[in-house]
Amino acid sequence: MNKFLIIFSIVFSLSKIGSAQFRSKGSIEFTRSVNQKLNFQLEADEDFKKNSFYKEILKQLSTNAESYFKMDYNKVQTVYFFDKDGETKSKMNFGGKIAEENTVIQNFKSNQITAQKAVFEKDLIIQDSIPQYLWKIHDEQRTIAGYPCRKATTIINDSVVVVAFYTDQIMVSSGPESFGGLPGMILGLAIPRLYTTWFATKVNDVELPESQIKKIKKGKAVTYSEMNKDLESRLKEWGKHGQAILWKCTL
Amino acid sequence: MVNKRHYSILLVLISICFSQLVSAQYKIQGTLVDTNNFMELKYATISVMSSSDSVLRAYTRAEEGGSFQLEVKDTGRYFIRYSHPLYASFVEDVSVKDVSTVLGNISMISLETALDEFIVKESRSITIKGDTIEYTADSFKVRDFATVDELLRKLPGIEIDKNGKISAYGKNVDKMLVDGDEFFSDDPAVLAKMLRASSIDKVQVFDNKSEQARLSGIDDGEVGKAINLTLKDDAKQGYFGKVEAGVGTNKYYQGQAMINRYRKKEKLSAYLVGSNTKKVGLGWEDANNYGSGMGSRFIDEDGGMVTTYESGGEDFGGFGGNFYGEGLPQTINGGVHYDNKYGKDDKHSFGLDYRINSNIVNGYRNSYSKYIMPDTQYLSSNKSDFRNANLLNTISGNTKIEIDSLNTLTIRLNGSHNRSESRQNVFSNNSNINNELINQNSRNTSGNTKTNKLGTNVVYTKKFKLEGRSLMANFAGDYNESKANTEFVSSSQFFSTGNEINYNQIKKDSSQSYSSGLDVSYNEPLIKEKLFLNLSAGLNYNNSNSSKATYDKNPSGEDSLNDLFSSRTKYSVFTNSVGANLRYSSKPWKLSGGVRLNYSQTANQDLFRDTTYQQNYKNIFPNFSVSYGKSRNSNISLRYNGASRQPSLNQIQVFTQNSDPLNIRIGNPNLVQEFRHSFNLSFSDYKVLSEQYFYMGGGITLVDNALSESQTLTPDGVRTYQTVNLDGNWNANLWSNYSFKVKPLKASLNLGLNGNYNETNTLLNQTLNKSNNFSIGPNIGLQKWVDTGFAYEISFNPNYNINKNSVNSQVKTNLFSYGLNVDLSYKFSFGLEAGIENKWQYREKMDANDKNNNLFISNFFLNKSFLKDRSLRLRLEGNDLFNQNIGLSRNNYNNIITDSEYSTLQRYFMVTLTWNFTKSKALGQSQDSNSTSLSF
Repeated sequence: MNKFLIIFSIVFSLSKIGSAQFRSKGSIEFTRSVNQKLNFQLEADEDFKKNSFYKEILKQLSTNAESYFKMDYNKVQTVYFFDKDGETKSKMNFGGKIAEENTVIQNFKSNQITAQKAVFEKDLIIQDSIPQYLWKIHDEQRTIAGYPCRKATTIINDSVVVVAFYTDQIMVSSGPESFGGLPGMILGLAIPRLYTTWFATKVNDVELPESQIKKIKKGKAVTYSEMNKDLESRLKEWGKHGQAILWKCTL
Repeated sequence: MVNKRHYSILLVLISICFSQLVSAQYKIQGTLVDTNNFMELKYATISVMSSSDSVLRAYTRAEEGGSFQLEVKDTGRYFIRYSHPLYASFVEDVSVKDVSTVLGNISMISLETALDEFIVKESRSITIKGDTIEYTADSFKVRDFATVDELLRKLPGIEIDKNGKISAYGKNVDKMLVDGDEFFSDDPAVLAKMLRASSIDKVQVFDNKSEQARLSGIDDGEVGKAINLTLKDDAKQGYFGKVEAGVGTNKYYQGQAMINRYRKKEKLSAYLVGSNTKKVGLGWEDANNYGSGMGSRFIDEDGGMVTTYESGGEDFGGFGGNFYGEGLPQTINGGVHYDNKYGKDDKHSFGLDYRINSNIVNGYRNSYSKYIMPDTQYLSSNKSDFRNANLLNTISGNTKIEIDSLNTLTIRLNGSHNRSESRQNVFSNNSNINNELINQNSRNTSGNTKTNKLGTNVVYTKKFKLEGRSLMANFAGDYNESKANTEFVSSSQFFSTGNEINYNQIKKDSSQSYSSGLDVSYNEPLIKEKLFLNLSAGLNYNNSNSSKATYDKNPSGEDSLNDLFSSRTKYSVFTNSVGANLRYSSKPWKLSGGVRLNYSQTANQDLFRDTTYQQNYKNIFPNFSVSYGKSRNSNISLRYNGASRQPSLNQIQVFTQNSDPLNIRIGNPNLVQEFRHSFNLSFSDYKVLSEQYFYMGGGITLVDNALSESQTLTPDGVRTYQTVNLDGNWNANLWSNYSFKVKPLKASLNLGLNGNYNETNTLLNQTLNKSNNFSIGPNIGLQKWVDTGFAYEISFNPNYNINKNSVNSQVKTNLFSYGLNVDLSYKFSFGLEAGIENKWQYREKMDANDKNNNLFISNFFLNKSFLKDRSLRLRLEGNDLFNQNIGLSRNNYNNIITDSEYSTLQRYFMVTLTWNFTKSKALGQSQDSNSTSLSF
């Protein structure tokens, strides 16, 4: 009798722990960090690199600029949105922000993504089906915000490598910006070519109150390909900087 | 009947086939079970990857009871990973051949059971954790000029696959750092291929959070494997420079040589420029590369880029190293600059500069002026030729000491010595409106001046832990002394009276002045990131001694002092002030406002006549500004500030200046300060993507007690000037610009409008004259820039100027003028560029006798670059092809219109050869030296 009770209680407690391992709704806080120095070097054209401007600006840039994002997630949709700037603000905004304070809604029922991005003076609203990425799964694991995560990589825009760390303990296939499609939630994301990382700092059990979730303004929506077509025609003459802007917009 | 049945069977078959084709799905199903405990395996993750490339093809979660089912699009070899937080995840190879693959029961082993196995795994990773494996690069032989990735391949334990992906001890390298600067390695495109292996000192492989955090300063709370490359000190060395030589017709020449050498943290640069063309100094770019960095650029809090340009003080040569003055220059400019870093972590830096500047300018200047007086007008003609020579030596040094992360001390010292010689012959006369000569003067002035300057500036900044709180103290001290000796011979004839005045004098001027001041400013954030308080206080003392002694030459005996034209003055200003400013910033508003209370005592002591004029001012300087910008790209702002201006020593010194006997200036010791109220409104809007920019601004300035001018004309045509305080002066201005891209032309069009209105009160023969001057002009420009092909820049600037004087309102001098520039160039892809620059200038005739109204200057150039890196350039240029250039200027202001012409560079042709050279050690691929110094 006693023996049975002990076994029962062990099994019961274990199964309780087991179910608590999986989440299907809640909220996540992300920190987005850009290595401004390297980013600046990447985008500079060769001619500009010869300029003495270039060196001086480089000297003054703090290495990393941080900003904070939040995500509300449940089985139906995830809403990922800009929360606030970090203490070392981005100082790279010559002419305006480039898709740095985005709001992205991924809806799994309708397979639709709705995103709002400010690109310079343009307020873009994108509506399209959720993009599909071909993820390569790696063996490497690391813990992010207390969750064991597995590494996956993909390539966007033909050549830009994206590294993601996802946890299967969150049963919603999503992530920062438009990323997702992995067997779980992406808690860490790095795009080396853009010198940008996103890391979850906190995962909460409860969803955010409706009032705290950013909405997307009404406006004329475009698809990804329409946006690319429009931007490409404008950024054609911008060289490397234009290329990087395009990449940032398509995230 | 039969046919029909057959037909329908066929249809069914086709539709089956078709549906197979469309959704060719291959089902995989199975059930996860825990054979030891009877636990729920719900929500376990099942991921299916292609065996060939590990790409995720499908995933699902186990149902209640552990069953799962998923679909892949193709047959082939896959591996499936089963994972659950409480179970050991494992991988199974599966071969999918049929529409349905049944895997049956799959046992999962709970972590408790598998504990032993895991401990083994963990212990293996622990042997790496916390250790830094360091390789000394030189002990691994690589080819000459090999890049870093080749070196890494040689290191045991480090592997690079064909895609450039780096792994260390079987684990992927997340980050690559260079001397502690962060870099991600997943993208192999950049660093490993960019750096030369021979420049690497050590390769460190580590898996240590604290170490990484220490090196990169970033602590993301995660542990990652990283490689740090440390560079050899001598890798951070190299040099770049430029040599240029040009010869032209009419003995024109220009030459430049400059070099910038850097080694570790030290930089040495030197330059020498010599020419008799307009090119007299370092261009903007060169000044930054080879000078001490005369300008500075920084990024403001809004992310905008701010550029400041300090013209080198008394340095000869204007904007961008070109000469825009009157006459023909002949210059030699040279300088040496050295800077280095020292102390722990190279936190401190110092720089030293020496510059020498020699220039000689020869030329002539002829000017014709019309003076409008209450009852009549006068014409004045002035012809002069001059020669000025200057030799300036400047030395300066600065050091910046970062005591710690919060305290910084900057000390600057500079000194200069200048000797100049000048000679001038002038012939001038005045006539009345009927062209009858009233008087005439001819004079020769020759003299020399020596000036010494010393200055120091000490700035201490303290930041506090609390963001936004800071303290700054600034001490500045300056000492100037100057001595001038001038020989002055003049003879004037006055035809109405038949008088004649002759001077043969020696003028010995000397002055010393020193000033020192301490300003302290404190910033306190009252509401984080929103409201800031700034408190400031200052104490400044300025003391000048000026002695102007004029001696009449006595051929037979000793020179005698002429009291009328001599003076000795001691002038001191003592100021103390306190101020408070509040700044509020919350999108979209930015407000700031404050007040500065200022108490100043001025003492003007006339030592000759033993009188002292004392004035005390209590000033309130208010300021406010409001700025509204809903987005970063659009902003409207309004600003006000009040400021006072003290009269200069020259304006108050009690004596008569007779250096031009027909235009005499006398001092006014009773002058008081003027006070200016300035209002400015500006609006800007820019659209980056569509390349549209719009700026508009306007301002009004009202002046109380303006330091204005009194002109007295004696019957024999001698004008006497004195500065007086007058009320009622004000001016307004407007400027605007709109530029946008004209898509079909791929060019940008610029449209602007500028206007200016001045109301100036002066005294003409003690009668108050109110002059109204209004000028307005649009500007239109069209420009296109291309890398290769046809480029142009066209601009048209008409201007209309209306001038009225209340003393003689019949005389209106409304004048029209315009400028038109057309620059065309063509760049060929093989390094040849040809261009022509045309400039038209038109101005309306002042009167019927006026000549020189039109000017057409045309220049051409031909550039050809040689060598693979285009480092050698040959330039052929022709300046003023039609030999039409005359220096021209017109000034239509108050009651005087002056037209001048002066000697300037005319037609010449020149061939210039330029060689840019560069050498740097660390970079493998690119020879660009600038980018070397960045990576560190």
